[in-house]
This record gives sequence, structure tokens and C-alpha cells, in this order.
Amino acid sequence: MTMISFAAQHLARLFPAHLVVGEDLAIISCGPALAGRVAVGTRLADLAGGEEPVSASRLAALAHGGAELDLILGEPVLHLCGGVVPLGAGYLLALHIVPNGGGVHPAGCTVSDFAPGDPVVQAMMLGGIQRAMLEESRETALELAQERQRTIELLGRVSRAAGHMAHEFNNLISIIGLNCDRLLRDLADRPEVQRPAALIRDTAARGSVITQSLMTLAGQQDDTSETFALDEAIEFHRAFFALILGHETELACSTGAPGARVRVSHSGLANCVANLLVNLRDAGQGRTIALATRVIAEDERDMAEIALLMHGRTLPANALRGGIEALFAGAGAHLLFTGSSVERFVRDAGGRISVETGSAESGTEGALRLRLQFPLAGAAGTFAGPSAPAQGGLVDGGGPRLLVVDDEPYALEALSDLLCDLGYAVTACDGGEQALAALRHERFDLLLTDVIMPGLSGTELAEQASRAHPDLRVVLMSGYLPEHDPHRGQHRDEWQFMRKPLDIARLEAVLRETCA
Amino acid sequence: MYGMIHRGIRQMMIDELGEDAWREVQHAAGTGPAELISAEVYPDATTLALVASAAQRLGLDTASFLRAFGRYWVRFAERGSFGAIMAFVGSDLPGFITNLDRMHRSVRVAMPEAILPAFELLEHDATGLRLAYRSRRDGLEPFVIGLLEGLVARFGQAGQVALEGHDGGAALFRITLEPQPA
Repeated sequence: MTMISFAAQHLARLFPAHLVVGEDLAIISCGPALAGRVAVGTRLADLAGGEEPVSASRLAALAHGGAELDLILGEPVLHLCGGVVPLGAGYLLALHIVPNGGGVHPAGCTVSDFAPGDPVVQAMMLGGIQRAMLEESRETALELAQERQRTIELLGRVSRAAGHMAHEFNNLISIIGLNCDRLLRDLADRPEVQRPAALIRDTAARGSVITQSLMTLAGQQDDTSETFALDEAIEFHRAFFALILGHETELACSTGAPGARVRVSHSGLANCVANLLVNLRDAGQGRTIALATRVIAEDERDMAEIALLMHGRTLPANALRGGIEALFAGAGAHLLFTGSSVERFVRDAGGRISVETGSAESGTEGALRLRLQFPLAGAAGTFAGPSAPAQGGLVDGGGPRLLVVDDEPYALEALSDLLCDLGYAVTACDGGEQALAALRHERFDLLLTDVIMPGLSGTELAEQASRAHPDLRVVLMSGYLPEHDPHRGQHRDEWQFMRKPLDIARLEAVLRETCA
Repeated sequence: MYGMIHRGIRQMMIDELGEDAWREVQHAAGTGPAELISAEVYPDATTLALVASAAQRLGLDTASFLRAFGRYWVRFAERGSFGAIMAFVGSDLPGFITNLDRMHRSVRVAMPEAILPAFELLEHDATGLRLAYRSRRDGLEPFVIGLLEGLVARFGQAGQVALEGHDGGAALFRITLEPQPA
């Protein structure tokens, strides 16, 4: 048998967590990793526990048999394991630190507490690097989603600005066109006026093509709307939602809207839900967020709903108002979204969004529920083209009575003049409120209204007028396409739509058809 | 260099000047989100472009920026996902420096293409430390000075760091510690 002796410093380097105990199992010395945790003279049995009690006979057996000794030092817990080497009087416990399943450094240990070649160090380092990489992946996914949302918002703002400018130019071109039509009709016997008026009208029409192209382009977002099954979309993004929530928050997903289809941007919807999930997680202390879909009837419309519910303890309602990302404004028991990208997205899709906090009375104190509701695709509100006119026809005989509404006075004047020439009885109003007042005092056959107006929009005016006068026909006018109307959710199938600048011949045909 | 350096530069710019400033730096350096993956090893030219762009944005020369970034790097590493690893490397300045190479060896297993420096503690006592730094890259001494300054602060001490000179391919640094209050 070869004897090898170690100087104390070498022993400390090779076995930083070693113990030397005497025959009475009192500690004689220890390695640097245990300095400060064990005191010389302490009996081993008083210091450490393990699967089996430490005794002289056990140490002798381990020294002879070659099995390893397991020791657990308490407060903080440190697991040691290693061989037992008999000395002349006592034993050398050649122990090493066993990492726990948790953090990189068990019980506050550092690299110095491990022997130079101990593979545990590298294993723990790699484990730590892996955990860091996973955390970074989660953060990066979230950053990318947020960056994407920022880009979409920026594009949206630029688009809206361009669209507004184009819309205003289109209105001016519409006025030019209408007044050229007036000139061509009123001065039909003046050829010297006819030619220039026709040229101006045609040039304006070419300009309108450009502005309409710009408006169409401005109306397009980074992601275009499409019709798809809501439950399928939620299932498709389920893994992504779970990933961004992280491992400390569980996502309980249940889809209960089979066959329900919505028309929104697919990725925009995913970004919204992801946005809300992160805000819910950060607002509360719950461990589970439930996501559920269903179809509900809301204000006589079928809607597809996505509900997000945070279980468990959340902040009190008044703290939530300040704690949740500053997109929400408190209003009693319900928190309302204001000016948020999520709110804008939902409203642009013709939907609505609400927040509810739990109450002690209902036993749901601390709970937080967010609801996103979207119109079902194909529900009332999509333009389906001309349909049969309402029953009852005209009243009082004579030319049909038109209520014409436009906030642009020159356009209103020119259009009213042209329609009178065509034989209609025209009442002109420069805004929605004035038009409602006119409707209260007179009966009209048809409402011809601009859509984009300050105050009451043309769509809102048409909706109120239609409810009060079910026989009233409606034709909307706008430089925008119907799907870009912020209130398109209120559109009715039987309404007609005319794109500005107006083609008088086409308008004539639509009016004739609608009033037939 | 590995992407964690780029993430450190990014966070430093955001902390100092905000997100818009970082976007300007990124744009000027010709980099994007793809250059921010911690475990990815990027060409040195990419890192140097970010350093130059960030230095200009902060109104610093490259050496001053590297020193400031070295100090910042310690705070960045300890507060991020790698904080647990930092704690494991050492609980005091001599131990941390001694164990840095072991940590880098593990990093190299995860990122084989990484070119990592070597640190050797030459001597230490209560008044200070002397260490040797070896790297295949030139010109990063200001960063190392900042790094050591950051480490001194991390362990609750105060002192000065100076480059003593070069010897056999190694840069020699001396850390002079101020006496600890009794």
C-alpha cells in the first residue's frame, strides 16, 4: 500500500469541504469551505444529520467498505458527500458539496468552495447560463412583440395623418367636381364655358384618383384584416401566450366559441391578447390566468368574446388603477380603457373592451377580468349591396324629399343645387344635430349624409334617424371606404354607400333605385 | 464578442439617455435585434461599431467610454439573469478574480467561439491586489480598468485601479484599496 501525505494547504485545495475528526468524532479541523460553519471541537453527530446517524462504527464501516458518507449541515442547509479515509486516530472525511436542485450556488457557496477539477462547478455554471438564456428568450419575445406593436402604432399614426390630409383634399376635389357639374348644367348653352368646366372636372377627377389611392393606402395597416375562426386563432397562439407569461404564471385556456368568426388583423389580435396577459400578470399576484372564449348577445348583436381572468390575489381596485400600465382610467367598479393601443384596435374592429374587478360581496375580491368583444363576421353591419326598398314607398306624391347633410358648405351648396335640378325636394343641413332637428319637424324619404363630420358623425346620425324613422332610406357619402369608418359596426345592410368625389350620374341612379 | 456585451451597451444607453438614443446608436452602427442574442458570438467589428456609436452619442472618446462601460458591466451582469452566476464566482474581490477563469471556462463550453480573456491574481493583501490580464484582443485595457473599478465597488470597497505596464503579453494592473473603517 502506497502512503501519500498531504500538507494542510494541499488538502484544503483538493478537498475544500473536508473534515478531520478524532476517534471521538469531534472535529479537529475543516476545509476553507466549511470555515465559519463548523467549530473545532464540535461533535460530528451534533453538527450534521443525514439518512443515518453518524457514529464511529458507521465511519469505520464506510472507511472499510468504500461507500460514501452523506452529511446534511443545517441553517442554511448544505449537503456534503464523500469518502471516509481512516487516519491514525480518527478519520478524514474527504467531502464535496452537492448542489441542490435550485440555484447556482447552494447555501451561499462560491466557486472557491469546490476543488479545482470538480465538474460540479461547470455543471452549475452551465445550468445557470441555461436559465439565463431561457429568461432572456422570454424577455426577447416580449420585446419583439412590444416593438412590433410600436411599429404598428407608428404606421397607424402616419397612415391616419396621411389619410386625413388626403380626405381633406378629396373633399376639395369633390367640391370642384360638383360645381363643374353645376356649370355644365346651368350653362349648357354656353360652349365657351362648357369646355373649360369639363376640363376642370376631368382634371379634378384625375386628382381624385391620386387622393383616393393615398387614402386607400393610408387606410391599410401593417396587418390587413381578415376573417378567421376565433378559437382556432387562440389555439394557434396558445404556446406563445404561455411562453411570454413565464414559468411562474400558468395559462388556463378554454375555447368555447366554436365556429365563431371575427374580422380583424390576425397578428394584431395576438399582440393585444399578449399585451393584456403581461399586464394582468404584472398587476396581480395570482399564479393562474384563465383565457376563455364564447359567443354572447350584446345590445342585440352577437359578439365573440375573449375573457381574461386573473385568479388569486390581485391589488385592490384603487391600486390597480395606478398599478396597471397607465392605459386605464378608473371609473367606479369598472375600469375603462382610454387611448390605449388595445382599446383602439378593438374599437376599430367595431368591438368593445371592459375591465371588471372582483368584490368582497361576491367572494371574488382581488379578481380581475378583462373582456374583449368583437362583432361576429357576417353579422349586421357588413355592406351587402342594394336590397329591396322599405315598404310604404313615397308619401304626399311629388319629388322625393331628401335630407342632405354635409359639414362642408360649398359641397352642401353644390350638391343641393344639383339635386334640386334633378327634381328632388332638398333640405340642406350642415351637421348631424341640425339634421336631427329637421327630422323632428318634417318627414323625409331619404337621408343623404356625409360620414365624417364633427360632433355627430353621419353614421351615428343615420343610426338615430333610422331608429326614429324606420321607413327612411339612407345613403352615406365619404371619401373613405366603408370598412375604414370608425363606426362601421353600426352600418346596416340596407344602407347605400357613395364614394366621394361623387359621380352625379351614379348618384342619380342610386337615388332613383333607392327611392323607387 | 458575445452578444451579452451588446446587450450591456444597449442597457447602458437606455439607462443614460433613453430608448430613442439606443435606437440611434443601433442605427448608426448598422445593427438590430439580431445582434442582441447573449449566447451568440459576433465579429469584433460589430462590437466595435456599437462601441464607437455609443461613445459618440455619449460625447466620450472610445477609451473613456470603455472605462465607463467596464464599470457599468459589473452592475449590468449582477442585476440580470447572470446575477446568480456572478454571486457564485466569488464573495470577495480576490476570490472573484481568482475564479474568473473557471467561470470563463464554463462559458466557453456553452459558447465555443467566444474569445475570453484570462486573469491571474499575482498578489493581494489588505492594501490591494496585483493581477495580470491576458487577451487576444488589443486595446481593451480601459475596459478592464472600469471592470476592476466596478468590482471594487461591488464588494463594498473603495480604491484606485491603475495599469502598471505590460510584461510578456500580459497587462499588469494594480488595485490600491482604501483602508476599511474599523
